[in-house]
Amino acid sequence: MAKLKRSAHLLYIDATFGGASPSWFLIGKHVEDLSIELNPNTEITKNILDETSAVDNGYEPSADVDTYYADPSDGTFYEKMKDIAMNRKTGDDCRTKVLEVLVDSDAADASYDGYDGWTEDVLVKPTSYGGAQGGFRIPYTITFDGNRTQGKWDITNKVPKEHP
Amino acid sequence: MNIIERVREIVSGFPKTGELHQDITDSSPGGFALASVGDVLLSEDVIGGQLRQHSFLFYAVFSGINDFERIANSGFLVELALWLEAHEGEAVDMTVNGRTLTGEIAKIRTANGMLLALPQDSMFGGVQYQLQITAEYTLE
Repeated sequence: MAKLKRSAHLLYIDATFGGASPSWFLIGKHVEDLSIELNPNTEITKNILDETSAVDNGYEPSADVDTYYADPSDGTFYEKMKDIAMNRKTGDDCRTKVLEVLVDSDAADASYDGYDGWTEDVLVKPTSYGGAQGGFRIPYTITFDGNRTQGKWDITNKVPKEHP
Repeated sequence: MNIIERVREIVSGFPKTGELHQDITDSSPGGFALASVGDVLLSEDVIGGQLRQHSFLFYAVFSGINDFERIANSGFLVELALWLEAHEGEAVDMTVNGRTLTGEIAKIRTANGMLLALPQDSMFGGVQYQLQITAEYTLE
């Protein structure tokens, strides 16, 4: 397999925001640049002998989705983003899960055993709404909140399903 | 309906056009044609959705004996530009290697409307105008 296309990394968000069974909404339509910023937190300390040591405080991941055009055809996800932004919802109303799947193998191969995928709790906060001519936007920030688990997933027509 | 077919349909629907030919128009007044001249990828989002631009040349032949007629002809081009802009959002699709991609027209713009050709013999023949049309459309 050659170098991975950008579309090999699929980021889904549970549009139910805490519902009994997740409804995965694929993030990325109209988004030309999206990165999970890991924000590594490290400290360098120096003792009285002038020896330095590095302390690893882990990561504080987040992602900014700058181009979300509010679209009623997005269903539950649109309704939720509208509710959070317009009603200034906070706390648990903004908590949900994300699913990241890395499509880095060929499902047609005999050795295929599902794609690696990770779920994690997140906080979704709209950062503004409105924007320039061309469409009503609700850009938002996803702040990762731990409880990360790895699993195996199948993707059919960009719809994820847990690999049996 | 792909982008060429869709834009042909939109132009054909303009009330002041007659039969719309492809690439070549009649030389007599009332002749209209649309030529497709190129398609480029403008951008691609992170899940593979594309924003593309297709360029067209629209030809129209009118009577242009005097200034009054030629002013009216220019007005036609302005009206057509507004007509096209009003059709943003219309659906398009494209089948490539058996896979059908769908999208919509994001923007239609016109530019460089100009008098392209004068009649050979006398001004009683038709004068030909050309208008560039660019349609931006999505596919996913």
